[in-house]
Amino acid sequence: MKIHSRFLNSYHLVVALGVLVFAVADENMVYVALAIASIVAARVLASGPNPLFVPRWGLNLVVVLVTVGMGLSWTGNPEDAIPTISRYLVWLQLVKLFERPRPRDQAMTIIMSVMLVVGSSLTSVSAEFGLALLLYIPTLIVTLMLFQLYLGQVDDHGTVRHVVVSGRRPGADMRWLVLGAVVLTFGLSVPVFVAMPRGIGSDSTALGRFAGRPKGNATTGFRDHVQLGSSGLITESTRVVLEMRVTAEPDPHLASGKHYLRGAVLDIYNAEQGRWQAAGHGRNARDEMVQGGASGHRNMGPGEVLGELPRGTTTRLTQEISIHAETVPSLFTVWRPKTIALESERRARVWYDSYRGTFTPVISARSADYRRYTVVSTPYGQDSGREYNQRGWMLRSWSENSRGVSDHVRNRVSQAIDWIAVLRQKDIISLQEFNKFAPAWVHQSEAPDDPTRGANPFIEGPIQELAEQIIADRRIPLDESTRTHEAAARAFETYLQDNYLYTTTMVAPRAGQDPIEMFLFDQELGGRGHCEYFASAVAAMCMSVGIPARVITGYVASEIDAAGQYIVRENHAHAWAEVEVSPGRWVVLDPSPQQDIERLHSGGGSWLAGIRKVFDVFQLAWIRSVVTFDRDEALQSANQNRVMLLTAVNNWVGERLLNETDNGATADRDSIGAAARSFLSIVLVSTLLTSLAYVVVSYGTRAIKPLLGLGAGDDSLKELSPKTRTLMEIHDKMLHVLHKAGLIRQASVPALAFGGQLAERDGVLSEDAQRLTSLYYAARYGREDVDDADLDMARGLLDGIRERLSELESIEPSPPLA
Amino acid sequence: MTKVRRRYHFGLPSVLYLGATLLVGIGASNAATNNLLFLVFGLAVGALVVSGLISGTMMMGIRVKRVLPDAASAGRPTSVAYEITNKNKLMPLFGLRVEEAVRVGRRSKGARPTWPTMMSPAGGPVLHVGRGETVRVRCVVTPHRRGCATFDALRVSSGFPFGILRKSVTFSMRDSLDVYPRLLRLRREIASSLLSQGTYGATTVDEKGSGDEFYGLREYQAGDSLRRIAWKSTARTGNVVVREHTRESGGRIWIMLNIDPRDDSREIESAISIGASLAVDALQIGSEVGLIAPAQGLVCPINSGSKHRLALLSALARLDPSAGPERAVDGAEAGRMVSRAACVVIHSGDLDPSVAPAHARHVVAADAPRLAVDDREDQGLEPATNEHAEAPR
Repeated sequence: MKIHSRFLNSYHLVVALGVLVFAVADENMVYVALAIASIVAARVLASGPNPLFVPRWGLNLVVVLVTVGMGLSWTGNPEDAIPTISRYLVWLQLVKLFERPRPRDQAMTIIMSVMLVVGSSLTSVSAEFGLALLLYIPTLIVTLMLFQLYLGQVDDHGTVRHVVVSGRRPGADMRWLVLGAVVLTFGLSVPVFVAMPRGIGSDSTALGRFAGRPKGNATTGFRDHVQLGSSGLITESTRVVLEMRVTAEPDPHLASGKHYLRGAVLDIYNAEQGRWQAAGHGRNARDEMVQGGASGHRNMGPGEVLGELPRGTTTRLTQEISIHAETVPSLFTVWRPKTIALESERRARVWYDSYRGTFTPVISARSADYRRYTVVSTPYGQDSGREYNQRGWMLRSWSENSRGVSDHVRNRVSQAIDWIAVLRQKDIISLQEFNKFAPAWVHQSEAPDDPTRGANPFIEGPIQELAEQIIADRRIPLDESTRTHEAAARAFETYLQDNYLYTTTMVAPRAGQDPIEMFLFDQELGGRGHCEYFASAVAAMCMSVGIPARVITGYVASEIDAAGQYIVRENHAHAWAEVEVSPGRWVVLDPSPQQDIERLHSGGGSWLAGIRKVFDVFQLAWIRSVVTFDRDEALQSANQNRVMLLTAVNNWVGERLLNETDNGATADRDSIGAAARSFLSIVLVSTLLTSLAYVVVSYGTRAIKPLLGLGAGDDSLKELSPKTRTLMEIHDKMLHVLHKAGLIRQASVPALAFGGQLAERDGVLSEDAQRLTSLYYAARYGREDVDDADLDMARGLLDGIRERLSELESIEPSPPLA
Repeated sequence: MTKVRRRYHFGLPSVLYLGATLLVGIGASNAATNNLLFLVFGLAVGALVVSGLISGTMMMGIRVKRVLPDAASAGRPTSVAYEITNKNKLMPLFGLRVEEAVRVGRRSKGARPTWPTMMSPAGGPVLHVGRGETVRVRCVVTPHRRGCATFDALRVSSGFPFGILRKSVTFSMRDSLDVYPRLLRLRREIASSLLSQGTYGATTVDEKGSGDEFYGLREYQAGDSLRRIAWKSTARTGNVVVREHTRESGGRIWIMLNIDPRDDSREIESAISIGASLAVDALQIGSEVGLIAPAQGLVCPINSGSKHRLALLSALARLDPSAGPERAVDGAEAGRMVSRAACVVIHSGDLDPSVAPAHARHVVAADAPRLAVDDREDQGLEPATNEHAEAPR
């Protein structure tokens, strides 16, 4: 077992992986390249008969320079203490690679590597970081174990004493021990991870205050505004943002297919800034009139359901959403949300915007309260109890006022409303006349304008001209009283899809140029854009001809996992438009070329997609079990499922010692708690990684060497006959068999002399080995021809050696040769 | 029954590790948004437990045995071997260090072992001992003074697997090793002059040799010197015969150590070394040697042979210069004993001819450098090494 070289390999690997962990956390892979280059350079310099090391004073000088650099960096950005210290540690480690290796310095470097990784854990929680960490930990364990063995072979100055007092097969024992140590370490970390109490203090008192907010889990794909005109490439991260389970009633098919998850409703466009944003929140009459409920803050207790479904609602979509982001910028919903229930044990506040149909978290305590919620939505314009006419009049909602009215009467009234609507449509009856004789709970009123809506910036200009031209080309009547808004909007949508290209590369407009006009009309820069440009353009065109429209940002959910859940990633972030085709009835317009979107979301080629799916499994497990792990919930789940030993002990104590009866013993014992399942997956992944590393280390070198032509540099072997080569293989087998039995030939001992040494162990064994080796010598070096009889004899001798070894093994364990 | 003491050692690495783990734990508990610190903390605690578990289990089945040489000489390397057996059927041993310990525990009774005052610490590393295997590690130590080195305990320790905790098992294992006085390579002419004192003690041995006395006749053989042909006998018998002579004996010699405990200890040790070296040289040339140190009450009667050599060296190894006067041999009695043979008196201090008969030769300890040919052993003490590791049995 070559401890010295193995330790150095492992030591360099742990340094490289430590830097990799930091680079992943810092999102700067330059450090990895630097580390690899430094390690290679250090190894090259240290190899050979005259190894080169940087003198002590030189190293001290570099360390001083690095320290000064870090000090300056820290002074410039005192908030980033941990990243600055981490960078400092990286440089120190790389510098120390070039000094004469001494155990003390190597121990310091390993400690620095560990500190670097701990520091990095404060700055990132991404799955990539988790993967790097899972690679690092087993390597660190192996390195520490080898270091302990290495310490026994070198003195304080790193000089190898060349003393190896060892039993048989230390390598095999070491491999099993390493495997056990890795699995045990990960296994024991699980209960500690689960049992540790959370949230005793706040981030302001934790280590994290020096590191800023951890990277890697923010929803960078979604924004609550649209800023057009920025140049650069959009990040196409495949990080999972949320999972969603959808059920629909009464038609289950409505739950399948593509869903638009609304996050922010943007109805004001600032042409100067090229920015879409939401109008300010405000209670207004239109909210109450059109949507049947006022906007405002709502306090929600645990298990409480906010809002209610209008009576008579037939079609509903229930969404169970689990957000994996650290912060929850919006409560994403499909269709128009009517009720919401947060899965939180605390009271939480939600802003309900009835006009836009959005729920927004009011994050005063922690985002964790908003990470899981259930929403019930209804389709646009299908709220029971409301009907609208072409003039923007509506029947006042009667659902709230008709309590006590029988279903029979309600149906009759509904029919009457339909009939009145027809009369109203034909202007046979006026609003005032209708209200004279209609009961109070079916009175009509005119929907007021939305006071939050800003001025229409598209009322004049090239966009309006284009929109009118499109309408004219499609022969859609321009007269506001007769045309249909939806037909016009669909015409704009089709026009954009047919004439514009989708790209994720953002281009900056010219100075003073409106980004939407650039997209629509600029010959050089325009003609292409991403979803925000398409959505902005269709909204602008609609608004230019008087059709109310707004831009929506959120996600498109179309990817379904094996469990039937929607998986939403950052690159699923999308922008589209909603157009009010009749008062209160908004339709979705998505003018972005769908095939391009789907290609973008598919993730590329098949093998890449396969790799991504594998990574997804890990990513989901990582997010569920580590990043968004909720101890209280996991313990509750475990308690419900009776999977924890603690619960079993608790029950036993209660039943046997306290004579209590367990009324909840009927809980499902077959299911495994979510937390336990997730942790199991983490342990499984780490075990698999360790096993993989074990296989690579054990057999990889042996398999790769011939491929690289290493170890086969003797050209004379190529000239040997096949039978001679067979004889050589038999001889190699003999050495292998003897090696396995603990009779190891030292490199300095010739094969024949080794055969003689075997006499110390057994005469027969020695004689057979020497005879076989003589055959080998004659063929290999004496160039004597090998015939079948020689091969038979060699095989017979090998069998004899095997038998003899087993006989000896049964008598007493075989000691290795001195 | 061998007394065994197991313990964990908390050193600087343990303190640093525990401190860092505690810091991460506190930081994690205070963090509201970063679960990853809990994972790091869990891994740190897991590693700590695994470290204790592996090292503890590993050391459960360990057995050791010390194999000492029959004797050693001060200033000369000698090898001490340790046999380590792993009785554990599950866990192999890794990264061990075997070393001599002063005591099994603080409460151990009895005299303190003397080896720390006589030699550098013995011990050595062992990479691996498989399940049920025995390996032998041999280390070379160089005692730097004579005496009886006593050993009390043997400690096997390991920082494996992570070096966080160091686990040790100390076995009570009493043993002793005689360390003979430093043997000097005396100049031949000085040694000869000291040992040959005319008729005093001169004897012949009834064996063939190159002496002067006639031993017998035999037939001529090719290569025999012509000078040794007995011409008269040849003429009488008709066959060529040659003379054979008896071997000369080295004589009978007393080596007297005139040691005054008040003298400088280095001079005393030097005197003992000269005495031992003279005794060994004398025995080597066939003399019969006796040893006497009147002040310390040591008397070894005249004798020869290898057993006697060991007895003399052993007596010198254990000679206590400060032994009480109650054991002292009377001066007159000592004079009578040495008067019938050659005598060399070695003085640890100033020369005092009155302690021995007139024919005695005198040497003072301060003359040691003049007597020795090449006293390389005095150049310094070699640290313990283990360059001669033996393969497992």
